[in-house]
Amino acid sequence: MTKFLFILLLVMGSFCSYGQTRITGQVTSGNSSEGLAGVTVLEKGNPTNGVATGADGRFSISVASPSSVLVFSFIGYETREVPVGNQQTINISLREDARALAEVVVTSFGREQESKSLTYAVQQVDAELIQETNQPNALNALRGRVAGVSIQSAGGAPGAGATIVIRGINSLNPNANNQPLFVVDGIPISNQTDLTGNRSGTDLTGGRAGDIFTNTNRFADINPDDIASISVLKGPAASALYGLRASNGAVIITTKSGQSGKTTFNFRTSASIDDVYRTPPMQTRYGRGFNGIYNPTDYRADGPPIPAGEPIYDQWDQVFRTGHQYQNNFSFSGGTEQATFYGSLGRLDQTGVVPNSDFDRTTVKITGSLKTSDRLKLDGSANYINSNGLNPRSGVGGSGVISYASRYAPDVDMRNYLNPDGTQLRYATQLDNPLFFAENAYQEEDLNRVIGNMGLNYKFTDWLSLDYRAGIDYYSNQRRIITRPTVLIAAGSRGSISEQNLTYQEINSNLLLTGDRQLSEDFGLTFSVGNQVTMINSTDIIGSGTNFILPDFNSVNNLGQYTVRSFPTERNIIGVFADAKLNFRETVFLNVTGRNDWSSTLPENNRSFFYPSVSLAYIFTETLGLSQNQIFNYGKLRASYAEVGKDAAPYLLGNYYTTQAPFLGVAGIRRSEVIGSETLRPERTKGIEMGVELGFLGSRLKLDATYAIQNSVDQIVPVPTSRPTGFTTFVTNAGEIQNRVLELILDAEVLRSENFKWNSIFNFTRLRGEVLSMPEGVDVITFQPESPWVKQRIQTGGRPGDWYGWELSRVNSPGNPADGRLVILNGYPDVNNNWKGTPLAQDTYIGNAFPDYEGGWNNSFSFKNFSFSFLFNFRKGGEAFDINRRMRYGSSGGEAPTGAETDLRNRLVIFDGVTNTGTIEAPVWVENTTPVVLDVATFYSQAFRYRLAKEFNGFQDASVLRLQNVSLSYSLPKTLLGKTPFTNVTASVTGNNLWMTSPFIGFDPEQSAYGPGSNVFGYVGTNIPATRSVYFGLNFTF
Amino acid sequence: MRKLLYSTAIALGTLFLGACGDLLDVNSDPGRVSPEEATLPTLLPSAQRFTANTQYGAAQYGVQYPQYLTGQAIGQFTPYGFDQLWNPFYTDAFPTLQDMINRAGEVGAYNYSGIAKTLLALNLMTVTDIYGDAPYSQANQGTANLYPCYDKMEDLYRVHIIKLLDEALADLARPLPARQDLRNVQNDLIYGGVLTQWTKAVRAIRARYFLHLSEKDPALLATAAQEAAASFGSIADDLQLSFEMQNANPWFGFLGSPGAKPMQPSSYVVDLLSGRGGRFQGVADPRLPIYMTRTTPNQTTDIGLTPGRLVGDQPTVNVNMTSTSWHTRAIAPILFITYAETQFIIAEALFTTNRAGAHAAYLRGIEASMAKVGVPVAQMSAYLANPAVALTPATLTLQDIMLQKYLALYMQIETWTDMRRYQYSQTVYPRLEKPVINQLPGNPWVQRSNLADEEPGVNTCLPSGVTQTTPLWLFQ
Repeated sequence: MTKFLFILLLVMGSFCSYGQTRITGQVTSGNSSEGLAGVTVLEKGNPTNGVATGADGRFSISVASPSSVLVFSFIGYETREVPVGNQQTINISLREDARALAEVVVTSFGREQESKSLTYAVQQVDAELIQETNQPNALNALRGRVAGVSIQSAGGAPGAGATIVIRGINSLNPNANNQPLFVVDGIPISNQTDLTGNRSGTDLTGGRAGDIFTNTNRFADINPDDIASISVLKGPAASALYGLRASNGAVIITTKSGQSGKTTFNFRTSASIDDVYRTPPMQTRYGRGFNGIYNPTDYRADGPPIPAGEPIYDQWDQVFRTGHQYQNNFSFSGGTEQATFYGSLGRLDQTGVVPNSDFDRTTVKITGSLKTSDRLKLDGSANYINSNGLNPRSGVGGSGVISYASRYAPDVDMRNYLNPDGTQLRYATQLDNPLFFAENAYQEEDLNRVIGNMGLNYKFTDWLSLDYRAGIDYYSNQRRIITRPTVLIAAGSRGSISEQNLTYQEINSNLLLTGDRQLSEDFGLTFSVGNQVTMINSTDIIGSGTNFILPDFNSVNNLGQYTVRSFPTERNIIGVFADAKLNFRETVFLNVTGRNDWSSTLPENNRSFFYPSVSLAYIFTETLGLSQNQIFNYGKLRASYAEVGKDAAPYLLGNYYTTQAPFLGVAGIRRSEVIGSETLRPERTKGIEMGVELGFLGSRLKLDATYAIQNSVDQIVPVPTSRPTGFTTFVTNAGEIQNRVLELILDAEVLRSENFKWNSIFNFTRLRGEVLSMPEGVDVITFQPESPWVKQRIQTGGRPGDWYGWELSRVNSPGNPADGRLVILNGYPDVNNNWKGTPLAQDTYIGNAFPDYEGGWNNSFSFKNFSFSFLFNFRKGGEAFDINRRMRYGSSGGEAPTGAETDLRNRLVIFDGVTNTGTIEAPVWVENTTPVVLDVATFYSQAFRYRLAKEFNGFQDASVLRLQNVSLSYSLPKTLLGKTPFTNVTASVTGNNLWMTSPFIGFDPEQSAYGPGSNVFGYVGTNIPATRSVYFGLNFTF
Repeated sequence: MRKLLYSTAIALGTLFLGACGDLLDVNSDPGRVSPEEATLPTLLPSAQRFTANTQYGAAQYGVQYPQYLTGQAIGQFTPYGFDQLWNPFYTDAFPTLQDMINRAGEVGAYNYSGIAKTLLALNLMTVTDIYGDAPYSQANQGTANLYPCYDKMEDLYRVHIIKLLDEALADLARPLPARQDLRNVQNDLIYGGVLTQWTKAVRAIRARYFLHLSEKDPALLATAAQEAAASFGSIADDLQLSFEMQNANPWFGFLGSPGAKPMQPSSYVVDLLSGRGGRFQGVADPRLPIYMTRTTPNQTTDIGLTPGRLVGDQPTVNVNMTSTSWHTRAIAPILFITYAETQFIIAEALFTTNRAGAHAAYLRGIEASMAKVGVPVAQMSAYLANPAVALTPATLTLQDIMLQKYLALYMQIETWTDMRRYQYSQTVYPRLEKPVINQLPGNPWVQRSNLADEEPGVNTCLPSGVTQTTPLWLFQ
């Protein structure tokens, strides 16, 4: 260490002060008399001579001569130059640079960096924008605000998770987790989504089975009111320093901390009204019965037409009710020059829009910092979270509240579902009542989490400092999944319960040595070297079983048959890294990083891996002398190349045996179906990024455009193998995916006057993924949860999210008058050119689950004490498969359709198309004249005739324009508050998801049926729908 | 302060350097068993259960082909790759059985290897009867061969299955292993470790094998009869796996529970059992109410679903498989091969050479079938005494043998092999009709499984030109 410092000193050159003239003074902020800490005071032309102001804003510096000029600069303030002259005391105030303030972003290791020196794409969202949405899950508040980032919520169930994907899917594995790393105050925390149910030992199954309880992503535990800002580091260059866990990008959260000065208290309260406003249209013509025969004990909608005057019950009105969220948050902060503190207490109570669903969350956070000397600063924070959730079963598959409701005839009063003896009033043996089901098939969970960290910062000199920070994230999540024997899905098992106890513990230790020197007049250097140790342990113990002993006793102790399974994991990562930032006249910025990681999850020979990055930014307007230009004042070009390595999940190497559940009193073992390569290598993500930032009209209009190409190579993929190998899955390095993304951000200060301000930010993302290569011998990886409906295929040359299915057959014979018309076979439209003998296995490409482009447009206005904002987001293109729509058509043989599209029935029709009277080779097309009857038995329930074609089966354009957020607030004038203890009182009304327009028929085309733990997009329609929420809030500061 | 920092730095440095190795050597799953820890007695119960899953899986949707049940699109001959057979055999049963054979060979535990080879031969024969060509000699090699080629059905029959069956007989006759802990077969869920029972089971499987192969070599009929005679002596010997309430028979969860009924008994089997079929006219079979349940107790006629119709298409259908039907009860066994089947093998094999022997075996087969499912003795005697059933050696026809075998082997996939051996002959199976909606072009009978759905795309060594309409080698 000493040697290193010595060399450094030599490199930097000697710096001695001759002590000719000593200047002292104080720097204050704006019009206030409060001192401004941390302001850089530099002697112009002598970059080695500089100091920073103390906590009170005071400074003392020696300068060479009276002709010296002092430069005062501070992030977020306008820089001022003051000639020394004969002064010995210089007291100045720096003006806040309102536009510049937003240009400070938090990057790696919580360091604030001026955006002009950034060499890669980072986008920051500030606290107000997050808090004004009132979203209890802060991730949802980012939706539509960040270019290159796609956020999807798993639905409107209380506590439902949300998925964030930065710059596209980069794994061939449909079950892989593509989530970025979440870092709070410099320490990574878990954003895991722990899926419900048993695991196959290795966590390869991910979300494949669908997440029937839309479990939450763990970042949602963070109280949004504690957040000061969120920065999204999008590419590998931005996240290289966080190492392998940031290979999908990083989300950097800074939480609020105390400020020296008067202690302030803040109390915020809000209440919401939540409802489901967009539901699929249902037919109301045909009532209960089957084959046209009325049957009062049937639920199926295949009876005769409902007589006039009979009551009609909307299926959705019966299932959905109004939900509420009550959020209360109390916080206090303050401090002295030596110590600051911040504390908060937050509480959320939510009732869901379906029966038997609620969620509550209590958070407590304290943060403090202490300066023991000018050199040493200590800080720490502790955050405790407790949440409790209750949700009925929904999700992929036929058994859920939503899918049940969608199958009921419109003349059945679902709310009348109990017999006098308390048993379920069933309309037929084959379907449960959704309301009864909600009360008898559900998950309840309880989470306790502690996130804490402590840090110290020691300044060796004014340019060299050491930062050490250690943090822990620990949670324990207890889940109980109850399926009472009274519901049909448990009839075979006579009831089942699963009690799952998950714990997760992550300990991080970061050591960082940072130097910041102006090397000469032209060159400045910031460098850091660091070490990071991450230790992750998790346990997952599931006691589950079947055969209820007593009907209502909700405990695993009530089971006649049970097994206990334990899935412990341990994963440790050690990293060392170096980061050097060199700037030339604050005009050209060069950033070089290198990192080496050692991961416990890779084979010993491959566990150490190095990856570099280099990036460059050039503010050409400086060179051109345009910085004061009235019209075009800022222009920057960026370019970077970076790699990030990525390790495997624990225990993927080689092969294991697993124990089996006891059978006839004997438990056996079996070889696992998964075998892992013994020579697994780390994955790599390689990215090139180019960007341009332009500022016009004094940066009132800013454009930021980024184009990035990211290749994920050597992916660690569970390759599906031919089962005759004895294994289903071979975990190996294979395949490559490329994502090309164009991100545009247009930020305009449209109006700026004393009383009225209007800011408008527009962002746009166009993303294209492409599969460049597949694992050897594997042509295609198919994801098909709903046989035989549409499927997603990953194959070379395709894109992730490619849909394959069957289209209606059309005549393809240019010039022929029949060209383009439907092919009719036996009176019905033909599918997939089946008339030519094309087998269904040869299906065709029909679309992609990902949009052509997406974005958001936010406008915020302030007028005197009012502020108003609205956010639209949009996606164009991309198709979704509505699993629920398939059910509304009649889900299987014997089910009757309920969707509005099936209103047309029991009548003779002649399909508008042509039939072939020639041969397959030489078709002769004549007008179809065969009348057929459209009815349930021969049409709606027949896959070939109706439901197989993508035009009918629920496959739809998922384009949407959504009014994501509207917020109006009013602050009481200061004059009114003068005699009260309050310094600020604000009342607000906020709406989320208020309106949307989409060609999609159904609930919501953007609400994935698969949870945040999976990589599958485009399947929708089975979860509790996203709600429209209107919040009324009050905020008091005193 | 400086001292503090240095000592902190040194402490941290020591901690990290010293702990590095330990931190990184943690990639061995504490929750799972290593290959070295696996043992024969713990593999055996898994192998037996996987065999039951394989046999069940072959029948789960496959029972629509011999028209026991119908009501799914598969019953209309839409493409079907028998995944429910392919997956449990290749992923579960075969690797576990092969693992046992390898491990037993290393330690000379021929008692275990005899059992494993018996079950592997049984399963492999089921697989080849359905797929024809199937991976065997290149299979089960893990990453050493990720693209196993398919063995010809002829080779599977003439080389591999018989080799397993011969070795199984030989192994079971070998001296017990020297190792005390392996002398008695433990955890044998089927025969409780009694090797003589396993020898009978090998004989029964050999009888089925030679009967199949007699299609190519009629002289083997005699061998089939001999093997059958040397096999089971009563229904107590049946090779089957029983289930318990806590671990219900898979049929129970699939069809027995009151939830959705994906399939229903077909009109073919219901008509036969009701005395309305092409044979046994007017004879009500006492097995009918045991095999299935009438959903309309006040009706007196049982009506099955016409093959090719989907469940729900035909409102008049009034029979279902329920939790009280013999085969779909929670505790029902999965039958691998039964005494009744061996008697029908004898009857069929001796039909041309020893009509009296064939007739006697025919009656024993019916009796065994009825006793197995608990038909009361009086009803059984009445049924057997009915002239339409009792017959005489002179009046017995092949049709009687095969139809009674059809009824005895209700819900077993072996019947589909019988039907294809006779190529769905109307003389053997009178009034057997193709499904009313046949999705195979040209309205042919279904002859075999499609390629397993999962295979294309993951295996580069696939047979070409597979269609479900081409008869397999054995049936050509």
